[in-house]
Amino acid sequence: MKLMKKTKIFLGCLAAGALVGLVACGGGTGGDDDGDDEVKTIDLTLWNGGDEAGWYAQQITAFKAEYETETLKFNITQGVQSESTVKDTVLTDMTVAADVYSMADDQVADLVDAGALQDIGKVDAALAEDVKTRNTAGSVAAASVDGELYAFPATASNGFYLNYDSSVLAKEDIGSYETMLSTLKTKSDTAGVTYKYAFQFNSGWYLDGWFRAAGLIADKAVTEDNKVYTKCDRNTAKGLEVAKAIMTLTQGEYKNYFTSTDDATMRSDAGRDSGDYRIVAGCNGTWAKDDFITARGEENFAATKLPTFKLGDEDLQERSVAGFKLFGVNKYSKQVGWAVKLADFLTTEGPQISRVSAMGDGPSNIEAAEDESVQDNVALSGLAEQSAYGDVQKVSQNYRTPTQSLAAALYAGTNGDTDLITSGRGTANLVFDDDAIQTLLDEAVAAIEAVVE
Amino acid sequence: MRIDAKYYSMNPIQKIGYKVAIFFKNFKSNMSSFSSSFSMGVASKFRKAIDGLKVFGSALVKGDIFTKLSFLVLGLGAFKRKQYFKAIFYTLIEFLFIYALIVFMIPNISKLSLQNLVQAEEIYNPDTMQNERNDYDNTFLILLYSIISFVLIIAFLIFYINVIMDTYNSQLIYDNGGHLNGFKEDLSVFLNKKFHFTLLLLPVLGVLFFTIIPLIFMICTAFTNYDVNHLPPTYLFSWVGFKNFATLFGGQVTSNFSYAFGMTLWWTIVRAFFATFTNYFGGIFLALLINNKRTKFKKMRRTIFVVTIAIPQFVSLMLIKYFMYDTGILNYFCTSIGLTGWLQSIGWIKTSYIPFFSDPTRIKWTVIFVNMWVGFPYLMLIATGILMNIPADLYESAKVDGASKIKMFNKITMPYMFFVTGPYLINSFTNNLNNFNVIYLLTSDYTTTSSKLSSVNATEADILISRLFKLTQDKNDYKMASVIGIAIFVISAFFTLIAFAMINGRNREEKFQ
Repeated sequence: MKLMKKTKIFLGCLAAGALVGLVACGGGTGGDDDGDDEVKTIDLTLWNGGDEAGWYAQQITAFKAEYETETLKFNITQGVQSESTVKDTVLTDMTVAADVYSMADDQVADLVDAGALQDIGKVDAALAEDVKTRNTAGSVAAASVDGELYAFPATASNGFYLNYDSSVLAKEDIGSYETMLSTLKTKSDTAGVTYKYAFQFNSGWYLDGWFRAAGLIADKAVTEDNKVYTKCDRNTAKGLEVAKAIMTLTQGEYKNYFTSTDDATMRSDAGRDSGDYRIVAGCNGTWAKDDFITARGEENFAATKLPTFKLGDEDLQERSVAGFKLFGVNKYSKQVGWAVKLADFLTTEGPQISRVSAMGDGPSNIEAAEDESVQDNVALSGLAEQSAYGDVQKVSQNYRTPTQSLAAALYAGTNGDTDLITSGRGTANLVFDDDAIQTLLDEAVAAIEAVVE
Repeated sequence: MRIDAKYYSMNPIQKIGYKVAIFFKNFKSNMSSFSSSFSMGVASKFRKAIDGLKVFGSALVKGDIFTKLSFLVLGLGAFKRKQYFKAIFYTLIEFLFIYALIVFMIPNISKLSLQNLVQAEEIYNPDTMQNERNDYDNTFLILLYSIISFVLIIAFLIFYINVIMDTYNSQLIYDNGGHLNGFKEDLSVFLNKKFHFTLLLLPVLGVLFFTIIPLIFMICTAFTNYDVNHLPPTYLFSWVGFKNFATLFGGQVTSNFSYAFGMTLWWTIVRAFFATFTNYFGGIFLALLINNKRTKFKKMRRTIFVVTIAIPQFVSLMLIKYFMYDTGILNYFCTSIGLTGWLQSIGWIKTSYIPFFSDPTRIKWTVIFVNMWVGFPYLMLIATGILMNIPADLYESAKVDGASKIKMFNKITMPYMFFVTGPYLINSFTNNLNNFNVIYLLTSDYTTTSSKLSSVNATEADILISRLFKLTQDKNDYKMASVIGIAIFVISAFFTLIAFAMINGRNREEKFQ
């Protein structure tokens, strides 16, 4: 490989230029092409999200049992990289990144744009077709770019729905935001603690569901001169209505019962007994399940779809972003064939079913999803209810940050120093500054639609 | 700097204004004296170099055949004069250099235009189960290796000229029947006469490879389109001239970038100013309080404040952040005692909590405030030491003259403090311009509601260095990060120069008297 050659030449030159006193350190690379009768060792690195070491160890043992022979051995090293930010690490230097890594589906687009992910079809076209048929359509869409498969879907439970405390809220209370929040208000008054519903408005991920409920989109598109951007129509008259609907809930009469926190706070506050308030319902995912259970007990944990909200006279079902975990294969892996085999192995039916009990993840594999363990899982059945209203998010890299700001602005009812609400905060009679809201939406859409240079 | 008599009757702010005025008044003459001394320095170096080149030239003209041939094969002159080790050494270096030039330097430098390069493509080989890649170009390595090549070429040229001069000098000595050093003597020179060279070799090489080359690389990056869409090895980046600078300083395409830069720059300077002076005066004030005769448990009090230094900022700032969150303990406390309600009733806040970290203006106040808490214990320690060193007779004689306590503080304590800690003050201002920890650890969770800022991944609370970090870490936007890096350098240099000029480093000893 040219790179290696260059490195050696470079080291040679270092020695020439410095000659004295400079210790050149070069990593030795073992040759793989030993004789046929010798044992050949394949080195693979696997980055996981750090959630369940036991499950990974088990799967690696199974993988070795499947493929190891007298003359072929595997040396699989594991590392931990957060699944939501693994692209930052990979893109720092893709030539030294892991051969196989677990990631959230929003990482795919940038990794493909930067040319870091292996196109699976180019390694094994039949396998790529098989992956496409054995997994749900949504998960395949999340793992594909322009119809080409770039990753192996591993879970379909990385989306969000409603986790709640059934000792405070009954299922009929949470059909709509209005009934849920008014129930929280009445119950808070009698309990002497403020019960709250939590939604993450400080993130660019969750806001999608409000606008998509009204049929407003934000989708990756390509300009005529072949540049990537996100097409967004959230500054239309309908977008303005949605913005007002959100603020009516967050800043209106139920202001004190609707909070926005980051994920960690939401999870810790669910179990907060002392203090002035407690989060009893939250829009988040399977990852928050254990905290709810630890705090309120298994019997009080329930999960279902998100509530509806009022837009004019209509009740709209809040949608969610369907989220998936995927295994990607590094294009610059020295053992790309074996890396593909490992990623494939980790995402077949059996491992996906064992993931349910090990990590609480819902399968993307169609047959695994039929399994009893999935059907009995409270959180996953809540997720399943929401999945009818789930969309795969396909956006350009300019989408997330402006959307995060838009969400924060809508929650607070301010755009920088400009107030979006003229009067009536905390009451049922909010008076909005339509022009200011329109400006906010226009600015946000302009930033979201900005072409990626 | 000649100081006017009326200067002594000014109040401190007037004094600062006066000094700034003097600085700009004398700017022209200072600059001209600087440039004349600078040019004199350059001229003397230049003269030396000319002298050297003269020797070099006369070697070519007056040298014997071996000296002349040394221009081609470096060791020949030494060989003729039986300095065999030297001859081998010189020739070896030369041939190594030529080898490196052919196989490493020329291939890389010839591609430095970063045009017409080959992009990586691979085909999967089912037999080896590996990707087979074409002989592609990696622009990152081309740029890096070219820079290393230039450094090596310059180093070799210096070596070459020195060898020729040495060869010619040896010839002169040899022809006159003088004594020429043998190999052992040559080596022993590096332990005696040129010992400084031996000592400095390793540090200089270290600085070269770990500071200067990366620095040149970073500066070059600012003129390319090296970002997430042009990431080597898969994709190629190319030169774009001053486009990135145009983007930052008011280009047409992404005016949001220059808007964000303007805001960030202003906040960087304001924050550095507040951080420096609040810590400085806060620390002195605290030291005075603790040193006061009537204060009891001095050591214990000092220890309490020093604990903030002992705990790593990663821990303490993280805790502070959660402490002051919208839903944090401090907000809970403020709500319980009715402070939040009162602030709401006077219209100061619109939220049901105090937005310490979630409001574009208040987050700045919070940052400055928290920075005081982590910063002034250092100054307290320094000030305690200095205060104890102020000669007591100064105060006694002042007391005899009937000076008030405030007067003594203004006329004795503060001038003494300024005199001793002036350089520290400047240093801490430049440090504060780039104080990454406080900003990043406290505000990395803050979401701006300004879409103009968020479209370029900035927030109101960002300073230049945290912006640079986010651009490289989250967005792989190395080109803009490099431009900002250059801007940071220019700004730091500017403030350091002004500040040093103002405290006029020379003759300070006498001035204090």
